[in-house]
Amino acid sequence: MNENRNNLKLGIFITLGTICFVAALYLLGAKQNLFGGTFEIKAIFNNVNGLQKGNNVRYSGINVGTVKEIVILNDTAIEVNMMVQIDVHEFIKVDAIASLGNDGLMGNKLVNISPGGSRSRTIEVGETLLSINELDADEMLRRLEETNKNISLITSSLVGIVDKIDKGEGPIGTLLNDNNMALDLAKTMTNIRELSFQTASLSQNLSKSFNNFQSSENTIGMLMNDTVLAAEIRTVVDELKNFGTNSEKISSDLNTIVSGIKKGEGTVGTLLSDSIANDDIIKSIDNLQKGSEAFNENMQALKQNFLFRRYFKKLEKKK
Amino acid sequence: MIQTKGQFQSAKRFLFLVGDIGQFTLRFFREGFHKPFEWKEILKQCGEVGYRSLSLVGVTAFIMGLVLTIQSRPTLVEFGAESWLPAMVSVSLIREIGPVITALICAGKIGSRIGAELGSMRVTEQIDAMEVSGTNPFKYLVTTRVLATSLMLPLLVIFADTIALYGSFLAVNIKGAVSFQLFFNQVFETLEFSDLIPSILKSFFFGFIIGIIGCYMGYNSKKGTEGVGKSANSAVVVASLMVFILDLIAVQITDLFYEL
Repeated sequence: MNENRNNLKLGIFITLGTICFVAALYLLGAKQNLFGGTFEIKAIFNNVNGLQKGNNVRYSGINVGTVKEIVILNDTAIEVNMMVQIDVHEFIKVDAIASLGNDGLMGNKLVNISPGGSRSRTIEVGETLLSINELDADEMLRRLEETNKNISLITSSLVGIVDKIDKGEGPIGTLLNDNNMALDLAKTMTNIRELSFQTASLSQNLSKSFNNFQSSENTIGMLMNDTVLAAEIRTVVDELKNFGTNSEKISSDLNTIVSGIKKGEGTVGTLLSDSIANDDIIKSIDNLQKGSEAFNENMQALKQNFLFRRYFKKLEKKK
Repeated sequence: MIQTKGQFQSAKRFLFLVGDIGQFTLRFFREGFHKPFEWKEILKQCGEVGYRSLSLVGVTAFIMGLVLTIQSRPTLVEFGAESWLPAMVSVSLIREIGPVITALICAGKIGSRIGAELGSMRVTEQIDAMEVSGTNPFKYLVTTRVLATSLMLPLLVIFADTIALYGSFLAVNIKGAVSFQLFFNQVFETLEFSDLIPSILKSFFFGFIIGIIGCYMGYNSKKGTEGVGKSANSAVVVASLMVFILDLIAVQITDLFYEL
């Protein structure tokens, strides 16, 4: 009886211990997706920064799988094979991006998968994700080291510059150390201040003038505010436009006429271009001049003729 | 000169002891896996080693988890890493503290019991009587006890780990408010097979060495009742030392396979 009781207690002890062990194994296995459906996808990186088998894979921050294998393809490409839960397969699109990250500031490395476009197709099993190679801490430190060196150089240069300025060398040094220049500068500042006052008053005056333009009935104000006048001006402008159009026509007509004249077409053209006609006209004018001179002589003779003398004297008296 | 001679004698005695224990272990492998098996005695010893040690191991493990968490908390809070408490405590407990502390408790409780029991049987000539009556005392007394310690210690370690983690959960909740689910999620998020499996395997070897040392010391007990006390004492001391040595070897081997 006592032996049976002991055996029962031992049985309970062993069973409970085994259950605890199996539960622990199950929970650890579930974390590594040993008991659920999974599928494999890949990503290629230049540098995996210490990523190891078994590290987590996250999709939008949720643990969805683990790193199954890391294979060196060549000197610049390292392939990371990941086992991801089958439940999230439909959400991982072909343009989803894999990147390496840290679990917290000092935590383990992990692979982050950022979602792709919603219209893109779902990734196939074994297909390779797009990947981003991020700067690792060493690279950042190297760059920081370079920056520090540059800052050191800049600082030493600045020390030299400040030293020169302090000694009064160069334009800035002279400016800071020369009393006369300081006085000149003070004067210049005074002038600038006065100028600024004047500018301020000028701007005030301008502002007032502008207000006057807006409110008063002077020409500019009317131009700016009177809508009737504006309509009239618009009409005038339209008429001017018409005038311009007409002038254009006239000028084109004149152009045609002038070109015709130049070509010797028409009477004027003939007059201008025909040299014989020209000579004839000159002769005619000459004849006319001679004729008028002869006529004048005749008239003088006629005035002195006793038959007409009396008539001319009457005309002079009337004047 | 005399001192050098004494040191040489000590070294010689130590080497004899190691050789004797080696032969004793070989005899266990020779006789332990051949029929007839003493099933009833094995079960009885399992009960003695496992079930009867559970309360002591459980209380110790609970306090261990609680204290470790309370002691670690201020340092982690200083770094703003309080949320890492479950992860850190669980790794410490499962990898190292759980198996080693449980093994040391068992070395004290079980090793001394086996050493004293077999020692008293030796000095009262019960073992000789068994030999005379045709019973193989080694098979009946040693094999059963070594098998029982080897099989029960891993179970005790699993209980110790579970109870210690619960103690840690209570300690985390003394200062903060972390749900049971979140605490154990964080624990199993951190733990790997490489933490649990080597820990259980090494506790199997711890049990084995506790059983072997206890049985050896008791089985080879001399000088009457004084020898019984000496056997019990030696069993505890040597077994505890061997636990640490085995732990050192286990860590190296684990590192070799799992790259800790």
